[in-house]
Amino acid sequence: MTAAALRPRARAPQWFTILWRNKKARFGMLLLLAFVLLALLAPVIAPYDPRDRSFAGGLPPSAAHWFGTTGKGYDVASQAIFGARTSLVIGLVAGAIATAISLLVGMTAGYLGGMVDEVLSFATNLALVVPALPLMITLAAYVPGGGSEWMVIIVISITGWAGAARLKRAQILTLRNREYIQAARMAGDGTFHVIFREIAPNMTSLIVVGFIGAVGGAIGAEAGLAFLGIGNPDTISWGTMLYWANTDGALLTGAFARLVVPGLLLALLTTALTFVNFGVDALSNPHLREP
Amino acid sequence: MPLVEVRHLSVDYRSRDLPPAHAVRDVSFDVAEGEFVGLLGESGCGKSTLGNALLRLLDRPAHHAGGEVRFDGRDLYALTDRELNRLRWREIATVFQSSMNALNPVLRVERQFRDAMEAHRWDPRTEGDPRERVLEVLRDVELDAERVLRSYPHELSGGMRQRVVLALALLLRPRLVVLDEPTTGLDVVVQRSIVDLLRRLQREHGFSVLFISHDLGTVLEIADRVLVMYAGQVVESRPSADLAAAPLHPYTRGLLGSFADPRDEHVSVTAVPGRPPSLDSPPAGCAFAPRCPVRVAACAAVPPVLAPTTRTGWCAATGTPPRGPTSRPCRTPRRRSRR
Amino acid sequence: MPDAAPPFPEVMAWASGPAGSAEGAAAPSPLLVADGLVKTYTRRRGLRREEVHAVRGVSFALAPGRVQALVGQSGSGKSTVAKMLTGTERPTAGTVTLEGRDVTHLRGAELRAYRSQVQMVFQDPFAALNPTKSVGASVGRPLRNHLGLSGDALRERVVALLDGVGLSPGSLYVDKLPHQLSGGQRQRVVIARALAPRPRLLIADEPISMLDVSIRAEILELLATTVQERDVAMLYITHDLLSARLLADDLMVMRDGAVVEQGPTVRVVREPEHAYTETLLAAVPRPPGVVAR
Repeated sequence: MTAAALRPRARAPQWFTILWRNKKARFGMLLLLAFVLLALLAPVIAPYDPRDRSFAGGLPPSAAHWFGTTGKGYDVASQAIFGARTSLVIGLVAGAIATAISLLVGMTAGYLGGMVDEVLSFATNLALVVPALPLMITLAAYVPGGGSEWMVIIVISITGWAGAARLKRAQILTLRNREYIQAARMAGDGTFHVIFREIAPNMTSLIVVGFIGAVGGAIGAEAGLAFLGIGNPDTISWGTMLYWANTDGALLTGAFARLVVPGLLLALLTTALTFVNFGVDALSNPHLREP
Repeated sequence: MPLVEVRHLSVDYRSRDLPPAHAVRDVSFDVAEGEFVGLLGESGCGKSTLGNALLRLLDRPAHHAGGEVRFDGRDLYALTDRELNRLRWREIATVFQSSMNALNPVLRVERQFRDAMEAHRWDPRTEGDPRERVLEVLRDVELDAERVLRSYPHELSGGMRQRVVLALALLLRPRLVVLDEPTTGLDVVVQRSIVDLLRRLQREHGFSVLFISHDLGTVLEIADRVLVMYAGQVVESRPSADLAAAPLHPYTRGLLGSFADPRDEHVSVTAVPGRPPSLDSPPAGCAFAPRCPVRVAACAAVPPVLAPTTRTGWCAATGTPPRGPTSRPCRTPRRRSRR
Repeated sequence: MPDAAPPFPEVMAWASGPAGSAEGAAAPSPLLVADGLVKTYTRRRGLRREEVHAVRGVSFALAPGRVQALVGQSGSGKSTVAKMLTGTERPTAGTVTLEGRDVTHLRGAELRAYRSQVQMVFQDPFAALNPTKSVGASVGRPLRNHLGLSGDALRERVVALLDGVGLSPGSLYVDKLPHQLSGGQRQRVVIARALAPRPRLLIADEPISMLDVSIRAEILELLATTVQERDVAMLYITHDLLSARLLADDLMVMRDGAVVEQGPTVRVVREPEHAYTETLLAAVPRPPGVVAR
């Protein structure tokens, strides 16, 4: 055997291989990659500056403007491309914060039980029961900071953590009586260590699925808020594009591109995330893997 | 003709990244009518895979890799799904370790029996009143039939559930019952009662049994004949009394060494050092050789073959005079079948 | 050749019980005394409150260098007794004394210190090790927490522990993950972890019931050697009378939360006095023709 044959072949990490093999996940990952590239390379790909109002308003799609211009004279295509940035950034940050809260609340409630669990579960149930959209609107109207992006992020995070918290609590309830956890306590590990260094690594898949779901939800929530006119209507995002298209009566005038483009992009991005989640499920449950 | 004939059966576990694991390798044996056969082996020896293969219950990643299983002369792997379904439950029934948990938790027991009879087309005109039959089989397994029928599975204890499952298996009077670790996980007292029950029913009704287990004391006690499996192969096949008194294969001896009666005056056990070989690269010679205390140089090179021994039965130890590759099927003296 | 004596290493052989348990030998002074342990759970069933009497007054003593077996079926309360000894459950009544000190209701730092003295070997080698942690990390935790070791000193001690339980060379096993080991090897890691903080008392809860029969004897031998060499006390919980007979000096039989019989193992097994003990003994398989070796 030659030395070359003995050297272990460089292989992708196992989790990647499993994801890649799953057809839905592969589709999702590629689509997600496309969006990420779109966002990163926006200045290169977009034909014009998204804030350039020099064009005539309401132009139909043409060679110069692939999807036409908005009522105010912005190039639709450029706005859509730069809008990807906003959606991704807000989605990621809000998703991360929501996941962090759900982790903290869910795991602590599940592990400690007793009164702590009662209080935290009550809070979780409350957060679940209150309708998200009206809550977001109310918060957005009263939270100081006007229409800044951070306000939007915070509002989305506050309304988006509860469902995932319930799931994490449920899973930690099954894990906390495992013998290796008992052994960790007998080895002298403190509560914090046990929850976050012993149990959490066994919940990676659930946490990742929760995170990806939260990102998808946040993207949709941001678009929804913008569409309703909450937040700063001058930001470049798919939601604001829909907002302006609506106020400019795009449907009535037949300027479908102004509605379809941001809408379709939103749908595709959320779909990509969902499909990746199918694959992550397979990581934790070997039965779902491709043989 | 034996009820079940297995010839050169092989099962592989295939996966994309790894070489296939040969879970069952060239296994041949018979089960006669009315015979109680025990299949003994430890974890990873392939006994459960063999049990599944016998009933054509293999699921990905396990694949039937060769050989045939004949039931009453018919090749099971050549049957259509319809023909196989007619065979299942009416002629061959199964009880698994987890069967007691396979009862539908939202249906009363009565309903589960009814479903089984409907699914397998119990004909009241020729076979009698279905309810009578259900009551009869529940009484056979020593349960209070009326009460059990009315209950939900979670209202019954583990032992009772396993009896219900046994009753379900015997419902249509099968000719062969395959049990895979049916008592593992139950209390020892309950285990004893179910094992005694099974033995009594088998003697009364005369069906054949394949009892797969790692519990060697139990298997030796109730089986007529015992097959010992190691690393996917059958290494010894002898009547249980003979095997218990004078085990031939070194692995069997090692297994028996781990068993003792705690009430004896002098109690001692032995261990078999080492581990079974990895099934994706089985050794060229005898699979047990690395752990065998009586191995010789030839053991690592020449795969031993099941060969008849001076006593009844077969043994695959190279220590016995090696014979050439044989295509003769396994044979044991015909037991008088009691009906 | 077929009649030659099995040349497997004879692992454990007691003619009349473990060495040192001769009747009348002076028993060493007890390390742990459990007196009148009671555990009652209250469950809510609908609107009613139901009381479950898991343990109804159990008393025994554990001495260093000796093994006490606790035999019972599931639901007999034996695991609850173990939990009360490790501090995982608080007794509803009764006391636990370690070398004269009452340790029944400990909290916080005292509980932590107590836990370095009392360690457990679990039943399921698959569930007893964190699947995401290496062997070295699992064995090293008690060393870090209870003995304050770190760095090279920690690693050396972990390797020594692994060598001591038969996983030699220890350095080969330190970085392995549990799924790379066999059931028997995992159980050895569990024992190494239990021995890490130099406990005075080991509680073994069915440590071999999930292992293959051909390797159980080795683990039993490891436990026996550990008890003798390190002079620890051991509570051996099982439903298997054979291993109790092989390992334990004394035996207690539990049923429905109470002890129905106790005494030296050999006496209880060979001359049982209680009907339930006889039932348990009758349940042991008796294959015809097995030749005494």
